[in-house]
Amino acid sequence: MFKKICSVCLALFMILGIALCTAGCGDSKVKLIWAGSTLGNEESEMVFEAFNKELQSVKGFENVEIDFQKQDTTNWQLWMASNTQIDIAWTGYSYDIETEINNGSYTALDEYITEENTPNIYAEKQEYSADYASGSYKGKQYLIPNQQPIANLSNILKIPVELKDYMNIDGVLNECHSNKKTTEKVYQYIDEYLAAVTKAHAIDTDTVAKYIDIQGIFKFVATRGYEFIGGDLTGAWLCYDEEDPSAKIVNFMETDAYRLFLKYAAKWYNDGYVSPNVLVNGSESGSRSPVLNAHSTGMWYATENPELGEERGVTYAIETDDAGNKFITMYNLLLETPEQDWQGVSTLGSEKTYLCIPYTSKNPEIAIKLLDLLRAPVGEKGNDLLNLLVYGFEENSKYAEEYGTYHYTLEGDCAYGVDYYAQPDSSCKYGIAHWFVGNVFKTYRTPNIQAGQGDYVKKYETVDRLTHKETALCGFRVDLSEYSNVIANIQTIINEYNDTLICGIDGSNYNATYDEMMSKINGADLAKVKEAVQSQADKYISE
Amino acid sequence: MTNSQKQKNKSLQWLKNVPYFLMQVPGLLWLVLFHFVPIFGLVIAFKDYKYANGIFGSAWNGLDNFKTFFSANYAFRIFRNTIGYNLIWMLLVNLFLGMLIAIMLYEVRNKIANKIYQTSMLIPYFVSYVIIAYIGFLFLSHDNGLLNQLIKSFGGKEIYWYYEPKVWPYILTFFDAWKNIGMASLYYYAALLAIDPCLFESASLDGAGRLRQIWYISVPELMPMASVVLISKVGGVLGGGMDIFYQLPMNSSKVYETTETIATYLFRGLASGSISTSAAVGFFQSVIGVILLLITNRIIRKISPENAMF
Amino acid sequence: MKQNKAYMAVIHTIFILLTLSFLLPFIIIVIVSISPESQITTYGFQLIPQKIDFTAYGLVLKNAGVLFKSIIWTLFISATAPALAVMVNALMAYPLARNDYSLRKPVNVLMIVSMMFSGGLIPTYIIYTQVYHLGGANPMLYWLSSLFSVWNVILFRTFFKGIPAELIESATIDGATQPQVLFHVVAPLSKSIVSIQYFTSVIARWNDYQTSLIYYPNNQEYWTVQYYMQTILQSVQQLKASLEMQGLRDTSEAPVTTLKYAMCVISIIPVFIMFPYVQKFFSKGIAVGSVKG
Repeated sequence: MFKKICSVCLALFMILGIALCTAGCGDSKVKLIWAGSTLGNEESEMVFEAFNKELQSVKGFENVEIDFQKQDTTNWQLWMASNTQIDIAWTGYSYDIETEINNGSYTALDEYITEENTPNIYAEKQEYSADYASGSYKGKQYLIPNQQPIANLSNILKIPVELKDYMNIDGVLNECHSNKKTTEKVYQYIDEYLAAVTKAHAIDTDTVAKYIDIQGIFKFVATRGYEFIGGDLTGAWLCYDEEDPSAKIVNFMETDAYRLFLKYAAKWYNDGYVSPNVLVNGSESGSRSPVLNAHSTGMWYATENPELGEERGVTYAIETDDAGNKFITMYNLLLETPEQDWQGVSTLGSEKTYLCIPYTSKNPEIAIKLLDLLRAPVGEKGNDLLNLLVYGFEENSKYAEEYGTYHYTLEGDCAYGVDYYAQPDSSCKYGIAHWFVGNVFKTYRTPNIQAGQGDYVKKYETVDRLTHKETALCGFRVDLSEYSNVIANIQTIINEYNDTLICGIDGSNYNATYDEMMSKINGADLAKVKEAVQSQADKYISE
Repeated sequence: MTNSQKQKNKSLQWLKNVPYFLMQVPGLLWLVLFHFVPIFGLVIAFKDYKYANGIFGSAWNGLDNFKTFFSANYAFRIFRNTIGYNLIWMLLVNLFLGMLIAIMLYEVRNKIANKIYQTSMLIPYFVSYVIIAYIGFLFLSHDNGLLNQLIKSFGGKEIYWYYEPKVWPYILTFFDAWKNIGMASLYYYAALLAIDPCLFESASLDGAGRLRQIWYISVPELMPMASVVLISKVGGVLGGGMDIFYQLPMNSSKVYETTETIATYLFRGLASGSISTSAAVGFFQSVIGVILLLITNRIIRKISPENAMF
Repeated sequence: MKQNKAYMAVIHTIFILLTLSFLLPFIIIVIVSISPESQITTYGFQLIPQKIDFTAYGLVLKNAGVLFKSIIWTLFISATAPALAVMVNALMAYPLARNDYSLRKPVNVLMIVSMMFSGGLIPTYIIYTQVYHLGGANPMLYWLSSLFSVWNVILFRTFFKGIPAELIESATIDGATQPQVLFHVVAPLSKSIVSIQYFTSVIARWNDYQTSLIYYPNNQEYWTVQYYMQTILQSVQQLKASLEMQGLRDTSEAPVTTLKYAMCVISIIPVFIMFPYVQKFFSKGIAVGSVKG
């Protein structure tokens, strides 16, 4: 009886073993898993199939196959923890890049990026060195930036076009262009503007909201002239005055600029320009324009719109109505001249959209060669592959005939007829956002990216940028890893008090709240952190 | 008894256990394979976990992860809030109100009315707090909210609810009751259904009024369920969901004083993305939970032994 | 049985007020889900919307084929998985309610410990996917992950303990084995608790999106309805975010808020359908006369 059982088990094991072997020995295809924003469009399968076929006709990729998968932050964590094979992935602003690098999520790419191995990426790295630097950490390159039209950022003050006559535009521009930091006069101009529009009953209409977006104004107007160490308004708000040659590190809450803003925030709250629900529901403008707002330029629209007239230091937000006529909706006052844009610290992840090769990749050499292929110059096979991936099939192309469907028409360098406006979503037939898969400027344009934008950015990168003024800490990258707990503590204090203060909710009592916050921050070892960062900064300056 | 008789008794006894054990096999298998096997993950709380090293390859770092959490400058406040809310809600909502509503529901003889009442009470349980927060906003909004409009119509001055920390314990308790009453009373109601109606008849024949009947018949029948609820919920007193504390006050920073709990703190404030620290906090919550559970069980065993969990 | 009229009036009044307070928000939810998106974001909730707008529902129904398949799949899981779970939990609980089961204490302790300690998402994911090879192409997780719940076992156990010992004894004296006792004596008395467990499990399976998110994100044929709708919501939110990045005023009427409410309505409808039916199984009291003999 016992012997019978043994022999049966043995036989089963043998069969199992043989089955597993043959299963494993079957394919010689190299499979690369590319995780990204595949939204499961109707015709995704078709396009990916065509992509793979086309890829296999390129020398060196004859037996490579790409499998596209959906990625989000939950999956990412689980994939990394379970060593699931992912060869190429997207990373950027929804990921804490420093933590990911410290966790070992990404493969270091330095050994792969050489002139013979990856000529295109190598060339790009020389040309866009600042962007590639934002993807490197402690001397190693981990991320490949997907170039976007971010260039020559200026802070802007946004006025609805209906209200532009009430603002002393020249006054604001003159004051800002001659002072790198925001002076009291700027706030006074804003104050006059608010009084004027209220008197004329020009607010709370169908197109203009009732309140200002005070949080936006704080973020982009109050912080002018200060550069933040350790990233976007986090890192305990440590900063320095850009014009200061000794780069004295301060906490932004200690500066006069902050207190100046608080004074006016409290005033505007008392005068009723700030929504009573501001901490809960923002500026409550919905689809109407806030009475006043602020933002930053760059990104997706060029800084000049010559077809609608040219005013010094002003750009426009433009919309098109059903008849095809363009009309201005917002006036954007450019608060900085190009000369005022100084080169400063190097921030990890500032480019916001990158490709990476996770440590779980089984074929990093092939993966990086694929990325290099997709960054080939316009006209080469690799570039066609990139456009295929982003836009799908061109009308009258061989794919269109083979699969019986097409996704765009090519006119010049612009892909027309895509069934989405700004970005693809799951309801369109096919589309992947170009900033998810590669260098935006190497793909065809879509109508919402304006002509000449690529050249504009290139000129900035190759000419303007090199004539920038540099702050004392140009290129400096701070290392805050030892102080992460202290910083987290300070950050929580700031998170608790800051919104109340900058929205002026405490009205005339704001000083008491401010003092309370400062005493708590100082009690949380602010001095220690400042000293540590200062010593790093001093060391950097002296080298 | 002779030895062979004793042995026979013993084997008979064990034979009885076999059908019971077989019944439990699927459950036990599941517990072992799907719950206890992954439990090795608890070690993450004591390690400096990095993906690339895996769970077993990451270095041990003793109690560092715990220190990170406890040295937070708001540690006292988040513990006070978490424990306070969980205790009060457990006693008030799950025990007291749950039983009260079940008893009242039992009194409703009309079948249609009963169905309507009970179905409508269950609805909030399935609505997520994101939406409940918006409904709350309709009432509590500072300029157009229904509550403030009511106050203004009486000539009063509007109250800025989202900026007042003091009112939030009441508001949160109200919404927790509103959301959970349906489910909480459901199980008590089922327990009441199991009571033999003859008991009520004979009691009324003996001259007891309705309220007396409820106190002496219904309430004791609910005690086993109540003690089970008490013991299991007391283990979760350090836990609690994040949704109600984050969504309902709509993340208004002015009321953190009374709405910040362990869960929201981990979400908002902790040194970025640290899996190890969250694991440490989870481990701590589990340990405290077990201790409290054992203590409560002990106490209940002293009072009425048949209601103890084990 | 005499009922005091005033006493009943008080109870009914309280319940009517309560019911209104529960139904009113639901009515608000329904109204928001059929309002135009731009009206909601600009002016907030209005009792009578400017126009009835089914964009949110339209968006969900856009890919009607996929939605339909997803509904069928989710219904299939929601009907079968809870049935399995109820059986496993009840089978687990019954021996724990019997005084002549020697392993009562150790099993109880095991269960309590498991309730308090858990490995966490990452180790669970690693074991389920790498060691057991569930997830991805293997849909068994939809049944397996919710199969056993300590809380439900404890509820069953409490309920079983409350069944009078005489009933069970009379059955065993008549020569019934334990399984027979369970299925023929205990089960008919447990209709109310079983139906409650089944109902709550069904609704939980219907609303579940975590399983699809974590284990089946790339297998559209296995997505539950809630997860499918979440993906639609995500893509609409991305659209809005990109418009905002460009600094354009958002007049697109892309239904983010109204979609959330429409999804809420869809997840609550099964409650309305199922629960009144479930109440049928709430049997009152124990059949008189079963103890005699």
